[in-house]
Amino acid sequence: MKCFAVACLLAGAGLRAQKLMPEQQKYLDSIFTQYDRSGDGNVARVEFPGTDAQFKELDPDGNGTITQAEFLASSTAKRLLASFESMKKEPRARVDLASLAARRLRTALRFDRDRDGRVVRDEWSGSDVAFRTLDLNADGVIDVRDKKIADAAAPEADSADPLRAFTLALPGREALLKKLDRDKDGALAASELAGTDLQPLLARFDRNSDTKLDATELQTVIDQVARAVNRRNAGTIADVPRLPDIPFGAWDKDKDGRLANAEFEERELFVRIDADRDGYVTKDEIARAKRALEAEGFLARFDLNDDGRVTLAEFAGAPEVFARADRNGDGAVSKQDG
Amino acid sequence: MLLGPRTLGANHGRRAPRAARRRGAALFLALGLPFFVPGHSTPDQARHPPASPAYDTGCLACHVGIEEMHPGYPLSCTQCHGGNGEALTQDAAHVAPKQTPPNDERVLGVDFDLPWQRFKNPSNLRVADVACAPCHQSAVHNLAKSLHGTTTGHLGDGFYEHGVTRDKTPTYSVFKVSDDDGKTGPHAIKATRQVPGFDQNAKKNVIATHYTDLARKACMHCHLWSEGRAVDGRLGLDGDYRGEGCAACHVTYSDDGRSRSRDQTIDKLEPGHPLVHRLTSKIPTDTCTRCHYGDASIGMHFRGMAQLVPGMPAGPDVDGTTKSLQNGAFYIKDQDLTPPDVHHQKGMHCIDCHTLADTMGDGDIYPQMDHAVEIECESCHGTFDRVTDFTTSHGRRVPNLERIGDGVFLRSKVTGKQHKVTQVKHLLTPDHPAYNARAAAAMNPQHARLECYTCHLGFNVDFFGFHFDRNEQFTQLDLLSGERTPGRVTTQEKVFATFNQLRLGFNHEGKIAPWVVGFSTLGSAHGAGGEQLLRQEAPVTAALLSGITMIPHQVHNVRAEARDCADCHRSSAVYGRGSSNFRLTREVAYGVTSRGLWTIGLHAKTLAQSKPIARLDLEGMPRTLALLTDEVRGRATHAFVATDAGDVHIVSIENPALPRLLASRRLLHDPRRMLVGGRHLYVADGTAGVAVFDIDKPTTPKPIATVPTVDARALALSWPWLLVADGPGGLLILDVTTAARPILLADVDLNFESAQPNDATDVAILFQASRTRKGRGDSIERTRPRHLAFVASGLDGLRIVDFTEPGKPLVLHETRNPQGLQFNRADVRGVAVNTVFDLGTAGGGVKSQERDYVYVLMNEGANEDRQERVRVIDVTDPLRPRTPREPDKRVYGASGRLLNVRTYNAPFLQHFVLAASAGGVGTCINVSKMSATGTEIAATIGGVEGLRDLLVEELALDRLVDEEGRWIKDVSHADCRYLTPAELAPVLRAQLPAQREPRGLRAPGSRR
Repeated sequence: MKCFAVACLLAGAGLRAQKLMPEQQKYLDSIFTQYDRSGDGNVARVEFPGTDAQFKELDPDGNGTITQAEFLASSTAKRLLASFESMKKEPRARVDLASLAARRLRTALRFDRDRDGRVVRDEWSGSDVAFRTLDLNADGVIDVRDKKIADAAAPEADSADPLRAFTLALPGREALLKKLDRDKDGALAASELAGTDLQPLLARFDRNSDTKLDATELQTVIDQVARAVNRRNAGTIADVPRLPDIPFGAWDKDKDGRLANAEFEERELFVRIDADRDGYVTKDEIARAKRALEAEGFLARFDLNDDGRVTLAEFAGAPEVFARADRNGDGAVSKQDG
Repeated sequence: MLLGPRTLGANHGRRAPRAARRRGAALFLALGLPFFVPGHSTPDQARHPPASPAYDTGCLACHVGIEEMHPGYPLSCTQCHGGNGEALTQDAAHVAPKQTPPNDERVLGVDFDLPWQRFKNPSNLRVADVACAPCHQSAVHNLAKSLHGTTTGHLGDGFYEHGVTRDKTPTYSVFKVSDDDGKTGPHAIKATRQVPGFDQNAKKNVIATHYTDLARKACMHCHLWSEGRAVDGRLGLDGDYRGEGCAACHVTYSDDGRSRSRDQTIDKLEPGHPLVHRLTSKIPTDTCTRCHYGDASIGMHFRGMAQLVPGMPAGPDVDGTTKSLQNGAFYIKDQDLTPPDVHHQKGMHCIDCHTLADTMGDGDIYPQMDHAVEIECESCHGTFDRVTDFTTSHGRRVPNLERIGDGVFLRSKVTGKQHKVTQVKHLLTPDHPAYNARAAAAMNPQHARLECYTCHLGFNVDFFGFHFDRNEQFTQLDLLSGERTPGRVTTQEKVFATFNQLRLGFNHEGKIAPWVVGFSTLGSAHGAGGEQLLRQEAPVTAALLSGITMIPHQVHNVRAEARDCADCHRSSAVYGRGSSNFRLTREVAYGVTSRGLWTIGLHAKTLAQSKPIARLDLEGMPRTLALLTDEVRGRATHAFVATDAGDVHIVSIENPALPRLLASRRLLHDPRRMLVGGRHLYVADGTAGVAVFDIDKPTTPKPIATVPTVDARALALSWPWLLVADGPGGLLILDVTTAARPILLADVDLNFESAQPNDATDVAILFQASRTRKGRGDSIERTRPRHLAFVASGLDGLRIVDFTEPGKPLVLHETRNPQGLQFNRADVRGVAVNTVFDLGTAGGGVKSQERDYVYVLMNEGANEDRQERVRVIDVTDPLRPRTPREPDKRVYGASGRLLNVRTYNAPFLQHFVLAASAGGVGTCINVSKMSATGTEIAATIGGVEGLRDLLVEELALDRLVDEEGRWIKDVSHADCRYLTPAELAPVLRAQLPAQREPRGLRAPGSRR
């Protein structure tokens, strides 16, 4: 009784019609029976200890009694069922450190501060436990070899992520609709998704709760899958090409503050740096070229969704490096930061 | 010569008019000697009164048995009172009022019917020039300019804090006063103005407007120009009865205000009469406390008392409270909670320390007490490197302090008893018999910048904010104009009350001293039609800082026993950086569902009536959020909403009804929880670590650091320490003094019983200041101050970690009760912590006490009946956690977030714990009276389905200054300030003496 009263107070949206398992039905019946003190199959207002507003919510037809059907259709019943399911559960399993390794290694290389493609203990500002549990081959460094071990040892690590089902890029949205949209309504209903890899994604991506994936929602699925796949293959900041150091003072033999073509020893770079095409390279042009090359490198390496912008989430390096690259502070590295 | 607004203090040093000179000459002949004790108030030698009094036979014919008022040198009745001493009828002898005097507590004008006022009370400041000044001229003139006469400090603080005045130097007083004697000392001002009246044409949507009505209607009693609220004959104000003018101090009243005089004409049943007809210079503490009984008031703390917390049971049957009404109220008087000042305990009275200049002024107009009071601890006890020089801070000799043999003794002005005065230097001198090694270690050169009473402070009653309400549906008496004007003003104290939490800052002398709340108010206002104009609006000063200020204060609760080092050295909250307590919940909650951000209006009086206001759809499955708050006004301005996809949506919520998306940034990987600390956003980014962003420009969070973790799930900040619930990695303690360079100080293995991974899921922090309790004899003991982290450790239950030494944390764990906090197969998912002044039962069976409670969200029970419950655990003694009565309530669909909701419905502060739930906003559990009633479901708030996270808008009342040293709350006293970050850092890192944990405690601590 008490549980029911509390549950009534927590009433929310209505329960959609759905087939109940026998034990669920039995559970709800037992609660309704507890509540129906007179045993007439209906709960009258006098039997209901909650507020008028709560009673009204459970009595949508306003006839002054709550029928069993009304109760079963109510959001209260939905919540009671959710609680019932949680009650049956064993205590959840303890998360194993090893099972997290693969996921953690996706971002571990952002702590590679010297950009040599590996993280040593001195670069690691976290705890010993956190380091040790990523250095799977116990060689004192975290690198791609550890990532391979993690992926091989715990292929199920991402099994909880439905996106993991798609290890290859999905076909395009139109191709999917053409293949699966049997009723040609431009959306994939639950029945159309049944048996496909997309079925488990319905609940997660059905933002308007119409039990369908419409074109927009489908595109979101495709984008997220693409991102997840790309991220697995993402490189590190060490892979970003850089302009070599140019000993400006040493090369500027005539000390005029600029490098003529003849003074520039790396000839192949000259054209690239001489932006104004005046035949000379200045310090400003070198700096601009460095920034542009870095931005290009960022985009080539980390722009996982090909939108012309690298966000911090896409970036696999240290946040400080990202902040320096994001010169205009708009939260993304793009050509505008070059 | 009569005192008046035009002439107050103005004639000092000038030649008196002819009539006055004649009158002075006559009095000179009549009186000859001073009546006050030597060294306290010395009559002006040049103006001696007549040598022998002429007794008024007519008066004594009726007032048979009346005591001699001026026993040191008798005076006739009419010398003081005027009237006709020879007349044989009352009408002929007495001075009748020219008009019927008002029968209310208004403050009469300075020239209101002076002959009648003199007849009624010759020491009335309006006429004291006639009766008292001929002998005590400087005392009378100084008194009018003293703070007892002007109330300048109290008035000035409030007006500055509300932005009414721009200058921190107060200039308002009850009546205008000027100092025309040609001498103005340091920090003194030349003149004051009368406190202004309410401007009916001012903007009504500004709290400052309404505040200006408060002073003249509620604050005009506390000075010598009035008898206070216990005017003649008013019943039921025991403890309030007093005279006005000189008589306020120099005439004793009984608590019940009834006369015990032998004068047969006095009605012995009518309150409002002096105890007997006699002046005294032996003024006991009880006389001072006729006025000094308000809270944050020295009179209460000195005697080991404090005002009740609203709603607290009290009375004859309730232990720890006074047994009879004083000032219309009971008080806390609890030897554990409110031990008395050691000076009071030794039998000393207020005037044994306080000098003539302290109480009656020295001729200057001081705007605040800071500079007016000359007595210091050092005046009697000396300093670390010298014994007393017998002088006050103003260079005057302490009159009742003397050297006798090798010792220094203070003679009580009231009892005559001699008290030996300990000299600090002797405690520090190894070969002196009084040498104290512990004191010598503590009183080092660094601590020379502290006021003595910083370490030697007993309890520190404080309350973060008054509340005043002005309602234009009613009228109230303007105490100065005597008119009833629109607007009834009521005040309530203690929005929050605490007896142990300490706040420290620099005082006007540049010394670190305790700070307490100033005249800070939250104000509400209703219009003439009953419409709510303002609700708990926080004031803003002219400097655009919060007017909920704190100021240095001599608490007058000095104890020989010093506080523990960690009380001041291990919590930045002590220096105004804010704590998890004293956060007042405002009107709006913000939640996220998978569809977007919701704003939910919180109905403070009836939480069940809270309902959603607006929704903003957001992309990427919002998961958690953090709020950036305008800390001056306590209003959230921006919400950072993190999504499953790693996006951070920045939403403007300045108008909660119209949330507006400002920007979206893809910054994260696996966000679990976020929090805003000052100008930084900290994110528990799951397996990607802890990310730190600079949000100086909120729309463009700038990543500045990341710390690798195992699986960062939740955060708690007690700056400069950031605690991370790192899932299998346990608890991490980071130093974020420099947010861009977090330093890992410790990682704590919470599951030390087994080799299994940790399961740290949520964390909450509490700094537990030391608490007093009665020791042997007159001594007190203190509990150990601790900085505690409460970690929801999933399958390992609840863990309590003492990180007072952040580099060497201890897991507090009783080996005798290993299962104590693991419950019944529990999976602890959320945690919150709170300090509550826990109200006892009306019959006194359960005592009211300040207690610390941790609230735990858990899933527990047998497989077939696992339930989600919120359980309350009393961790006042963290070594022995206990569950109070009715400790838990069942909740449904909890999202894992537990929140403290503290609503103020004047005069009560109510504490709730809100379990955010997926089926609605959440379940609110009332935890205000855990000892008396246990938990009660207060409300369930619905209207939002699938809630994933929830936060409430809060006003952090104890957050005075941010981590970068930028002031949030103003300080109304010039020259007083908070510690800068550079000054604070070494304080928090100071090495402290090692503490030993009791036996039976297993404390594995950090793995580092």
